[in-house]
Amino acid sequence: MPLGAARFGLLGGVADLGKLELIETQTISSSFADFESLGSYNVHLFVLNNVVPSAVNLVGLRVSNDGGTSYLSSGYQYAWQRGYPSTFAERKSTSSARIEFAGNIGTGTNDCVNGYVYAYNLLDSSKYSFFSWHTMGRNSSAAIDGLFSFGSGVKPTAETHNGVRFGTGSFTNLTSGTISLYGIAES
Amino acid sequence: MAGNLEFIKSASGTSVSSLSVTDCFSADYDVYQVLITKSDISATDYAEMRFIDSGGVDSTANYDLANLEMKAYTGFGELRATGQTSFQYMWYSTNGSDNQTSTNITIYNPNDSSSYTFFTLQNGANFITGFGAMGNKTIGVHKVAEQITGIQFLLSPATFDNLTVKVYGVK
Repeated sequence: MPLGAARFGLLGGVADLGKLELIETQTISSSFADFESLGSYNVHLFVLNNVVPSAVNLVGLRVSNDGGTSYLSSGYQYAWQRGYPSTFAERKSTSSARIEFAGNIGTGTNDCVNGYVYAYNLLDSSKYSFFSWHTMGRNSSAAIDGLFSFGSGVKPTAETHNGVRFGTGSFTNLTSGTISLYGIAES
Repeated sequence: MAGNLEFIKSASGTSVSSLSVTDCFSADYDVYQVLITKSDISATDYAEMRFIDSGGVDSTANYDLANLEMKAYTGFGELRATGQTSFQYMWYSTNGSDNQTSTNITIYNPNDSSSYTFFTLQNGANFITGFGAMGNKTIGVHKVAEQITGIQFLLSPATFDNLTVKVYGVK
């Protein structure tokens, strides 16, 4: 039984439409993909489409606490499951320079990574910033046509993170692809 | 296009051992997204989930679940259970207000009286003081072909210091 107060919100029994709101789509051209206009959402969704790194590498992200003037390069934690036809592996770190979330992704013809990354509490100064993801990629140089990754990560500092940068695992440029950022309204 | 992710209902509670979100599923959607955007738990514990049907909260042994615990600080763990009275292992938290993550649950076919109700879950990495980050990737099924109308989240013996649940329909 509930011990305390609970409250409910319902919009008169009628759904409130269109709550996945596109903030920005970035087309990558030998660059990082930086998102520094995050609106006021509590939950963000990044959708990666045919993203290719600058060399065979992991793909990762960093956050900024100064609006993108700089991106934090230490203190991340992550844990994710990687799998391809011959091997499944656990990827994990409690002290990383970025949150890696996919890879290794190749640079050959049709090599890329597709998938999504959720970000939680980026703009809440009283909460850590959390991430979860599920991606699928390809690395032809290793004869891997299908490579999945799913997992979770955190920047364990309670502060506002008002920028997110996508790059390779060694944090060099991406080559191509698009990343779209959505905010989930009412979240 | 009518929409994409359509907000249906929210519920929140403070100092509660359970929180029910009633009448949030309907014939309007087949798939639902449930966001747990605030969950502060009074002790180290796994939150549980049950479904609500025409008879109220179903606490009979109809729940199967498998959960991959992805730990940044040690090898991954596996939790699995069949024929339980709840989905026992939904998301894990320690007692801290800043380090408890958000959780994203997708629920399939709750309104279909001829189908079991399934869910997938993934969350950000809960930060467990003294250890580090742990995320969960979870699946579950409620093995009764019946219409589900709502969900309940519960803890025992801990309580939710704060819990906020948002339900969206996927178009």
